[in-house]
Amino acid sequence: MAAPALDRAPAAPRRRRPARRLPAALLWGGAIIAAVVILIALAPAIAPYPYDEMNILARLQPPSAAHWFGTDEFGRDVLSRVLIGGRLSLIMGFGATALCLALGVPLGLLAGYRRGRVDEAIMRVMDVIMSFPPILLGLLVLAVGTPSFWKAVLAVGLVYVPSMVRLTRSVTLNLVSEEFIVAAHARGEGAAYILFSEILPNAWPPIAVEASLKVTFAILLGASLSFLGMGAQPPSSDWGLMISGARPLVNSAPWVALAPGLAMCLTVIGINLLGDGLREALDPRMVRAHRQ
Amino acid sequence: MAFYVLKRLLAIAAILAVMSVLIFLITQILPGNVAQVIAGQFASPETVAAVAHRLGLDQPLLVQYWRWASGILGGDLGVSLVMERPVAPVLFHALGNSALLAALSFVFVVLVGIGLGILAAIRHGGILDHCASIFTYVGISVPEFFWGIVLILVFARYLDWLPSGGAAAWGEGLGPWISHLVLPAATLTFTLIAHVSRLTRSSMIETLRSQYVRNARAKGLPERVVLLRHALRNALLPTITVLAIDVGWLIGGVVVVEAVFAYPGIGRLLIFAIQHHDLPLIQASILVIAAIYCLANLIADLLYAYFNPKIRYGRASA
Repeated sequence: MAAPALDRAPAAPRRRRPARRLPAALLWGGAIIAAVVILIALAPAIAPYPYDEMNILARLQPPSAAHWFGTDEFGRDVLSRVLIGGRLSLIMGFGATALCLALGVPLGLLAGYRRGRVDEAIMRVMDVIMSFPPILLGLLVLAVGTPSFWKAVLAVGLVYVPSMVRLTRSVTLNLVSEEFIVAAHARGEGAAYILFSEILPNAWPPIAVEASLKVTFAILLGASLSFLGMGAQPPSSDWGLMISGARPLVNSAPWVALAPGLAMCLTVIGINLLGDGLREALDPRMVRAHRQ
Repeated sequence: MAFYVLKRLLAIAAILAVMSVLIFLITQILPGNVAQVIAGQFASPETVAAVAHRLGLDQPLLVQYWRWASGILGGDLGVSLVMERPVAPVLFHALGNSALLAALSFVFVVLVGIGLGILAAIRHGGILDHCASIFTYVGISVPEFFWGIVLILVFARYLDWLPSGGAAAWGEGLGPWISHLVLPAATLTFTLIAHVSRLTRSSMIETLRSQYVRNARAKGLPERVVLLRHALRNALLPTITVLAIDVGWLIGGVVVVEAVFAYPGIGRLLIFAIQHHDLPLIQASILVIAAIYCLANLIADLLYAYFNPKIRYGRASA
């Protein structure tokens, strides 16, 4: 019994297709990240030694044919440890970002759609969270009880929720008054349908770009927490903890610290390039808006 | 403007109050049994109860919070469990060291970051611009502690110019005192210079394309005047907000960099406190650092309002 007029109500506009020529940053970033992810995914198979195999006779050896990145103070192969340790660093980056999206996006949609008191309440809570410097909030969450890697992922994810809420909210506020949302209202759609099937598909480009930034922030913050001893716990290891353990060895065996550091540097640069490329591909106008 | 300042101060007081509750709850409830930690793993239940009683941990939570909060308002930050002396003098001594480090870094960041950004914008597309872009790209992609280690490697190990960590007392003379500050400060500034110069560059490029800069040039004003009087003032507006964010970054960076260089500041104190489950010390350091962060944000907002008349008049009349 749907009236024919309603059938012709404006549908959610299709997003314009991205420019045909992909930006160079996207290709480079994609290539770097693909290489890093493949190497780390295959780590158990391609690592030349077990990551925790100690060999006291081969302690602190400089890079050589047998140990490309040398060995650490227990004679463990640094290359194998970098490959295996990368898994935790990547899980930190993507896991914390996923958590931040899972909490931040629905809250932001709700705040922007409902406005009024709901909006006020959500945003004030976010204000309080944002009033802590990121690493301090992470430390506060981790200060109690025994530190563990998953707690660190949780802490890092929480740290970045407010900025995700703010972004989603502002995008939602802009979309709510659009014709296709008004039309959805007129059709009598429920709030959940409007939020997730009408608004979200149109709000995602800036959210995707923000999320790509968050992945690098999360890797770096997670590494800092691990460096401080609040993240991954030995004998498992991520790049931050590896660098932390290598700090006292800087004078005798600098390669132990340099290898994980360079790996992290490469990964983060790759994701940053990917994010910049994504931004360019999704919406050229955002390049300017984002920098301000 | 006065009204705006007052409003912001009230907001900060409210946020700090909420923060104090949050810090207190998280640190006080979650650890399960602080008394057990203090008394030791193998202490008898009686000993644990005695410790709990001595610390007032057997009181209702509200009473505990009230004691803690009212103590802080009166300047009493509690007594450190591990060091067994009042937290306040220890904390403020460490804070002084950190403030020195942070202030030095901040001056560096403002001078070098903004300078580099302007130069890159003027010679937009030139060699310097490309070098600055690469430098900033790498700079924001690497955590502070790794830069710290690279700097230690170069300047302490290979060149042997500077000490690799610690701090010298004022009494040891100016030379050692400064030499201990150089590497931590340089580490702290590295990421931030990258951040600030990248932003200054893009906002300066945009400003230089604007109508009023073209007008100023058309009037025949010397380039120096156009840049400094007309363009810079507006180009710096976004930089000021970012500098505020960077103060937060700086505070976070201080915690990490102090750990790398074994520098006796508040960050290292906090990590020490966390490692030793020293609750009063954890609570006080987090609260003090958070309060400083809030104030830094306020100052940045005020500066922004001061430089941007649109906001100054718009909000003041609201």
